[in-house]
Amino acid sequence: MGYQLDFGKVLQGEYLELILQGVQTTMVLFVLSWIFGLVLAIVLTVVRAIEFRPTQLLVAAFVEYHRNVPVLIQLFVWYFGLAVVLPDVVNDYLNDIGAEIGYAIVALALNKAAYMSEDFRSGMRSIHPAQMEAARSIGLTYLGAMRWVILPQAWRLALPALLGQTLILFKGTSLAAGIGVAELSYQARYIEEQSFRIFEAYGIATAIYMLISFAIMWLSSALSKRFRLRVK
Amino acid sequence: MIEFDGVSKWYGAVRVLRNISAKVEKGETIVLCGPSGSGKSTLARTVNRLEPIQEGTIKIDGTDIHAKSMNVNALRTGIGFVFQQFNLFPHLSVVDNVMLPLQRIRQQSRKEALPTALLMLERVGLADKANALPADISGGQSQRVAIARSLILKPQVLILDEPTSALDPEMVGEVLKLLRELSSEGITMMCVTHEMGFAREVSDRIWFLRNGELTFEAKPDLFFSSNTHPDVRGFLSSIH
Amino acid sequence: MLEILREYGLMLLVGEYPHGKLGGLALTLIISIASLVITFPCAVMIALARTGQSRPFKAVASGFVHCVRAVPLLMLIFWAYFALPIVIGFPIDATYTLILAIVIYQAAYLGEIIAAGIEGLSKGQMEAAKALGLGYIPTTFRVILPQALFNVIPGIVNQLTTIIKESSLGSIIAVSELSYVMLQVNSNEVTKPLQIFGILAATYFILCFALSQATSWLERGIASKRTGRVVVEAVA
Repeated sequence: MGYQLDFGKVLQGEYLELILQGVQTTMVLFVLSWIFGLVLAIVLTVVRAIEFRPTQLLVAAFVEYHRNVPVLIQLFVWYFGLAVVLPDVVNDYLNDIGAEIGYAIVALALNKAAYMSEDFRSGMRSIHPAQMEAARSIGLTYLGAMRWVILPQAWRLALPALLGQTLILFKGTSLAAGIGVAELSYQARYIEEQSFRIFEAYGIATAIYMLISFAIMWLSSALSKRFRLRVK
Repeated sequence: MIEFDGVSKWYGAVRVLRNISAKVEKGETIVLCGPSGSGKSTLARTVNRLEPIQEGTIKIDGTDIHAKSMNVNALRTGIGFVFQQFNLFPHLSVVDNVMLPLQRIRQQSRKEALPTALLMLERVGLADKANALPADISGGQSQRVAIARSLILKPQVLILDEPTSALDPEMVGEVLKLLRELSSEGITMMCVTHEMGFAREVSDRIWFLRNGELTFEAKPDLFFSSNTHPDVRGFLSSIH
Repeated sequence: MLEILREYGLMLLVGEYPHGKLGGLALTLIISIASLVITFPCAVMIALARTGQSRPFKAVASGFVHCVRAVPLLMLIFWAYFALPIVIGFPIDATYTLILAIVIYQAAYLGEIIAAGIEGLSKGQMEAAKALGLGYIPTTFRVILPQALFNVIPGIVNQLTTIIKESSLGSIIAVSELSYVMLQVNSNEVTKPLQIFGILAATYFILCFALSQATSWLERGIASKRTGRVVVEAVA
């Protein structure tokens, strides 16, 4: 095989810069989608906990849509679909400022919110009903019992699943390449096309993904251990 | 002080409490017993409104506690309740469990609440376990913590729903010993239990329920004598 | 929306077929089922290595699982599609590279699901088999796996849902599965992206939602069988 590995070719000048930009975009996608997703997940969980059929059904529909349609298609819907709904002026402006990343953040955040709210919900459901009863028997109000007894247990119980979602989200940011967001895998593909350095380009991108994923995995297992709720 | 007057309760079509009328005087210790499904736990749970009733009234010091206007949370702060399964909060340490009512109902700071809680733990003999988590203490210790938690707001009434039924036999004694001490200190107590030794020595009166009915009520002397109600005699021989 | 369905409905279902290669929903299903079928034995091997006694096997399986989990599926697809042909020296059809990437990726996930199924069995099962004098092979294939695999049937069906969704990444390397076909339709009909991607999303939704309903139905059925077993044990 006449192929000589030469990582120096890719790890310098313009290519290095592209990789670093890619990493930065990946992290922006990851962090912002995570924060928005988590906040929205909490809102969805609360709304679904309120005994009002129409809003409960709405949240359920939201969750099922995001769980049963591929993330890539969810990105397409925002990217291609929103453009026709918005007036041209807005679209031109959005394209000037690089709207792809905005669409990607919205789509990824909504998707994660759906999954995370389900994790919270199953966390809540695995708390024994007697915990609520005991909290109320002390004289706490319903909201007080939620605040001081149920939720502190629910988030601990949901934590491992939420951390799992975090890793999936990090890897999922690569799908934004599908709508042209110049994140890490997009840059790797671009560098490969420009330089024909297939193994170097994908090798470096893969290594970076693994490094960050391992960090997330390590942190996840540390946090899960630290906050594990031990119930007899 | 606690007055049941014609109390009835249904689960759907099933009547679980039938026209119960009885009184508990201040400072009395009442033991509720009877076969399973007799309604004794349900009756105990109506006193702090964990169970609603459909007919009759329950009054504490003359106040109808099942009235719509009654503030249920205020009612419950005046009544300690101890569960069969302890129901400690697993995310909180022992002392935090005991302190929770002070912090979240009396709105005390941790600093204010801590001495009271530690004193209470000492009272139940568990000062050394203050920082342990519920998962790391024994069943008997858990129940003593639960009792400490139920007493921390200085309730006038303590209700116990089979407090020793979930315990290994060797741990029953420590909990009963504590209950005996509490009883002699003058708190009004209603205790659902199968521990007939405890009933004989500690209670002022024993209520016997069967099929949701309060069929017999007597002081221990009479209750355990040969002149007792025939149902009681059957019940006593069945649990021995 | 009806117009689009009338005009492109057949394409959505089978792609260019019969005038060209099979594509669309049919190809999505073929890719997904083929991926699951090929993944299954690999996943069983990984699960056995993960739960077995041999340290080297354990280490290799655990290393594989952790590494695969640390990489986005898209990167695996790039490797398989762009790099693999150079390594082996001849081109491969994009559909096969997609299946290969999904199999590697899913082997790690399905392997963990099956491993959890094996670990979920009571120790008594293994001990009872050993007490009867059964060796490793019969214990594994006659006692452990039949029970463990039965218990994880819902998890396996659920992975099929995941694989169907993952196969949409084929559109990035021009595999003419469902998503790719609809992207083509979208570039023909530039003014109706909402309808087109609405139809696309709805197609996936119906498929995956039906499968996830089936999953929870299976879960309930299997859970009730399991409690049945526990009751029998308790009585005995």
